[in-house]
Amino acid sequence: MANYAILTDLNRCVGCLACAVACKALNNVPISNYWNKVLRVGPNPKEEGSGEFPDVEMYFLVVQCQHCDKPQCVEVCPTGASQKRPDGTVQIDKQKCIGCQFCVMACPYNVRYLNPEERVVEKCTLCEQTIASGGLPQCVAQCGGMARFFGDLDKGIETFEGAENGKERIVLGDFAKPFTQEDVHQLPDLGNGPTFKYLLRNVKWQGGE
Amino acid sequence: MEIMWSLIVFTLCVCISAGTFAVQGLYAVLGRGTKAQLPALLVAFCALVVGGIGSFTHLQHWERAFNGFGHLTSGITQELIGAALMVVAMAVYFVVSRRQETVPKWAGIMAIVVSVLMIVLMSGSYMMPARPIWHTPVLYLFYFAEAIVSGGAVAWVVSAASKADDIQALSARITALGGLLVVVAAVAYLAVIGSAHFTAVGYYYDTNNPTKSMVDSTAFLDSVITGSLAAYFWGTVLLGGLLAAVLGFIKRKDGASGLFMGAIACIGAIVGGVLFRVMLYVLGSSAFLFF
Repeated sequence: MANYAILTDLNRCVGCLACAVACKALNNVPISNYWNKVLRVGPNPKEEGSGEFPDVEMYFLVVQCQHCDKPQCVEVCPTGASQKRPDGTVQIDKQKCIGCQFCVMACPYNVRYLNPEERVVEKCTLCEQTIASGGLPQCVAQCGGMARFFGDLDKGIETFEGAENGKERIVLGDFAKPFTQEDVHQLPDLGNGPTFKYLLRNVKWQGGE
Repeated sequence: MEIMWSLIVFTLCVCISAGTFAVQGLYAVLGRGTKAQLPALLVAFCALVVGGIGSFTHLQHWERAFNGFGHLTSGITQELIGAALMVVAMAVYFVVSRRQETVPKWAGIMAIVVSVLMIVLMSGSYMMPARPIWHTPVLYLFYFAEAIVSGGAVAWVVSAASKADDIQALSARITALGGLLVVVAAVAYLAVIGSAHFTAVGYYYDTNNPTKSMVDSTAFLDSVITGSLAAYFWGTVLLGGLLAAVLGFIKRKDGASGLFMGAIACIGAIVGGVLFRVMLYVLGSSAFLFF
């Protein structure tokens, strides 16, 4: 049907945490849980630089559930509460979750949390109800740097849409600065096939893929 | 990662249960230790029950456990199937041991096979690429070593207590073998810890956790050998491994004097098993260890 994902243009991300705050506010994410969080990578010495300031570079890496192709969390779930849906997203049926937290252990990215009140595991839903009605995930819609884009991978990342710029949503293919396929990265793949993409030009991508 | 005591109790008790059941199965195959069969079976069953209760306390919604259980790729489902098989095998074992003078050989083989299967399933449920320190065949070796040393030590204590003198020395030998395997597994784990691959991004900073320092995965090995986790590692080697091995080799003859030695070996195996599991949880960071 679809293969929904988010692409983040890391050259545009300013680390304002608007995505993290918007996610918290919309989804009522409990204190100490983060469905969407930001890691500052660097400052690290530039390759072929002096090794000292100002020859350093850094970027902000937005991390959330990567809605993997072969999600390990789904594989280890004993009740089928964690599911891969036809739209490409990974969702949790909270009525089925027994709170064993094996999915938390099996996720390479530490993006699943036990809700201490409901005693079930939660994570980024990609704002499933909003996207089902044609909206954007809140972290995309509220992105302060207009760095986040949402769309269907089957249609190509150039078609991904971001926050409204005046009257209409921006489209990656028109809005973003030129890039090549070598500028498109993903979080390290441990056999789970993360689907989210990261665009990073002229800065070394850290951590492998 | 956070230490999950419920799962420590579960894996420890499963090792004791499977180890004891397998060792008594071995005695059935050899046609020895008739007097110790029933008490050993009782210990194996009780350990499985305690482990099962421990596992259930880990579940946040245990009342839903049977609502949708059955996803076969899940390690928990496989463990549940393994535990159910063990209970059935123990029931069959109990019935045939009460009907006949000695436990038939086929029942002994069944006990060994089911116990081995349970350890394989339990170890397999922790095989997660996301946790580099766990995702290794050495974890299988460690759990098998734990099952052998604890099973041998329980059989040793039971044989001494029930005056099944024909299996005391053999139980001590099994305990010694298990102790040596624990040492081998612990040392092999040093290589695993030293070579485990974690994602590295140079300097980093978690914006949600400003006071958290960076994690240096290259320091894990040092922390195990001489640092904050050294007590856990060397405690396992000394108490869970060498102590059982030495006591097992010292005990050369059958006789009632073995109760105290067997009990010490048993306690050492349990303490060592707990220490190593705690260490595995402390080191069980995800490959993406920045949060």
